[in-house]
Amino acid sequence: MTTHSASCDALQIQTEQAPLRSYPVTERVLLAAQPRVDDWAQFVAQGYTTVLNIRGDAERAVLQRANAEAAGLRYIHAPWPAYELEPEHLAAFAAVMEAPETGRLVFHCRSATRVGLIWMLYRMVHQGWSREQAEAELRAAGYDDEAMETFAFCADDFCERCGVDGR
Amino acid sequence: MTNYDQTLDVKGAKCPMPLVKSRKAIGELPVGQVLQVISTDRGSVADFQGWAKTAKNVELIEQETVQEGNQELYIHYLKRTA
Repeated sequence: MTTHSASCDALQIQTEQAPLRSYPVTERVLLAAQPRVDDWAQFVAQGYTTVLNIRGDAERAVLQRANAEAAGLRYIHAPWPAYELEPEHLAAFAAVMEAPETGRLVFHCRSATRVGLIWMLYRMVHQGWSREQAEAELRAAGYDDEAMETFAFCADDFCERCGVDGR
Repeated sequence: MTNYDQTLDVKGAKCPMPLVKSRKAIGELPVGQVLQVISTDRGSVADFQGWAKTAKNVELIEQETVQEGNQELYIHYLKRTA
């Protein structure tokens, strides 16, 4: 198999050097792309208490945990699959949201799109929001047309597979 | 270049669209056949590697990067194994 370790490393460096892309959906929850090392202290300064990372790379998560915990954050790594979100993943997210120790949450993946999708589905499946309401919240938080198109496609996929009313 | 049976063009799509569309396409492919996925999302390289590690019906056979005009294409070859 052709390997891409060099391009992956380069991508990782570029991602972690870019300014943090983030979307405050509520006062309590910030949806974010990959944070940089110096973002952890910034989160603490802003009053966030917990970080939930859903990216798959376990080695990166170990390093991130050390940095985040050193800054004073709780750190949760939940490598939920990007290709097939299931109701159990939403239930696990709901459990994090309901846990009193979570406090204010930074919820991140690589580009902030998957966390936006999970947030949208959480609103619909666990909180009874309409799709229109959930989409409006994400748009108000700053997601662009391209992201909204992705949410729509992936939400349709989830609702069809899992028998969820996606209206 | 790996031989393949079908092609999925996801140029312009960003995570998680290439993965979700590929998962749907693999599901419609007969077992043993290979899907070529053409993406412009650099992150798809790691994303497809992660998918192949955890999915029960997919083998990542090869990945390659090809220059097309002023953009890079990330091409993935996936075999349906079950």
